[in-house]
Amino acid sequence: MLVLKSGCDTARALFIAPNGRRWEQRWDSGTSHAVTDGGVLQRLPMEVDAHFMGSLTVGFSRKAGEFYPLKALPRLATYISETLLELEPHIKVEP
Amino acid sequence: MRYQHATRDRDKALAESVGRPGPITAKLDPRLHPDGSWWSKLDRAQHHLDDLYSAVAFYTAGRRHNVTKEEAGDGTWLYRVWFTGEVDQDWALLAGDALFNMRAALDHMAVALNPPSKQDDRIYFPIYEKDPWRKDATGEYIEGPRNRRDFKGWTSHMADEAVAIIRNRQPYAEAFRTGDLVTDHLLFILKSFNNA
Repeated sequence: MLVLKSGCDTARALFIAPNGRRWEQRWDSGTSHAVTDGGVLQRLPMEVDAHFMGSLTVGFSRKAGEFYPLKALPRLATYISETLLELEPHIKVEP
Repeated sequence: MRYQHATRDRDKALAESVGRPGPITAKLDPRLHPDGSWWSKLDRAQHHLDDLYSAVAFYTAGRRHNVTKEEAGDGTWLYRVWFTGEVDQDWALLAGDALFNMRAALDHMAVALNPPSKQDDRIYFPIYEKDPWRKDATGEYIEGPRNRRDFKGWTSHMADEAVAIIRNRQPYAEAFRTGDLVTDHLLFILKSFNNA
């Protein structure tokens, strides 16, 4: 079960796994990539049903015990692509 | 795989709903070394991401969740999302494969930036959330020597411009410039997942 609680400037997600383990994530306005980049907070109250899978689907870092929106993944790929493009001209080719 | 039955239209609708980008931008940009192994790794990551979002689309189309809304009593609304079907465990595998290949793309680039005679499999793309060169008021390094030593070992034969780009891309450096949390930095997220 995923519990979403939205207020004026924060959102909270509590995930309860089938085995009973719980993890919680808060999003405070302006402090999280989930909010600043995806407008997740704004969407939650009105469109949670339609968007929660896509916008709030979370990955779980078992070691860190934290949630990250899967939405970060394509942005990460783009960021790495830009980094590679920036670095490519500096590849050394020895004579 | 089951989710391969998801229709193209449904995938498209999901992509639009989550703001999913199109192909990685580099596919549209000139790649100086299109056969470079770093691009192969990144393209493989994109392949896994495509599979992942197809899997999410398949799950969503099956609508194996219900949402209820209630007043929490403290001026907020409480939404409960009830899963009536298990989330496909392949999601974690697909995300993991994508992340592994993204990390590998950076590492392959780090190797390529060194001259061939200096390339080996102990070179990595550094990702630091703390500035290894930051000093306290007495002029002593705040962080231990390991990251400084690694950085030097991995980059000392690179072009100065490449080293500057890598330092500029560090989570601690970008967080300092933007004022964002270092834990929100994309490379920090990559590192957190990859080391998990």
